[in-house]
Amino acid sequence: MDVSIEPGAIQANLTATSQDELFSKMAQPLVLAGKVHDDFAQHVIDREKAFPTGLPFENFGVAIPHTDPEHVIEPAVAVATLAEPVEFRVMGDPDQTVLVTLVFVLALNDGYAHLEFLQKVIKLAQDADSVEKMFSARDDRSLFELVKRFLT
Amino acid sequence: MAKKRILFVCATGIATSTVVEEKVCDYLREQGIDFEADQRNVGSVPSIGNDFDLIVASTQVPYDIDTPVISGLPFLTGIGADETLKKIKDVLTK
Repeated sequence: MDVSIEPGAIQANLTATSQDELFSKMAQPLVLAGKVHDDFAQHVIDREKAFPTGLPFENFGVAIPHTDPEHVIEPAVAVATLAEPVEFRVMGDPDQTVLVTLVFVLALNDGYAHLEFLQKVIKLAQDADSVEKMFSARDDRSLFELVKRFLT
Repeated sequence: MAKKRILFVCATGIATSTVVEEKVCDYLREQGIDFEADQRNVGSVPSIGNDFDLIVASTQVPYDIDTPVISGLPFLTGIGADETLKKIKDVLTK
């Protein structure tokens, strides 16, 4: 099944003062769209504490929070650029932190089936020009158009 | 040389390790290295980790095992990816 990209789940210049607030705000549209179970955000929060997903790039930080497949109903993604950076711990190196301004919440339930999608997410994060365009998107709709173009 | 065994791990075993596995396996095939790969979540490392020649992890591996562990992070950020591929090859061909 294709990974769904819904306009409601793509948010530009989102304001969040903590990871908890961030994950709740990003998960809510996925819950409303019936893509994930009600307690998805809490599982992402718990998972992020145990297995952080911050990725330090040269000029910015990206995070790709996700959780176990059983919390997902249908594969989907939520994307947000952040008005102010939120601190994450670095994936595989939790003593390090990274200031994150671009977040992909991955609601996936089958890694091999979604490999192509994951590769697109990683490739996008590595492409500074595309990421710069996303940071420049002033509203949710413009960011949605960019995400749709970059990830499909 | 015996077939080498590589284990790819991340926290869920379905997300980041899939991307890392694809990149590493493509490279090893290009290099003509005979290997087989498996992909699990990090929790399976204590029980099966020592059956492998190398573990490539995109999460912390908080276990004491004999198998060398290499971070898969460079394949996600692109920073230091080539050096890490070389390191993986060195471990498998030494």
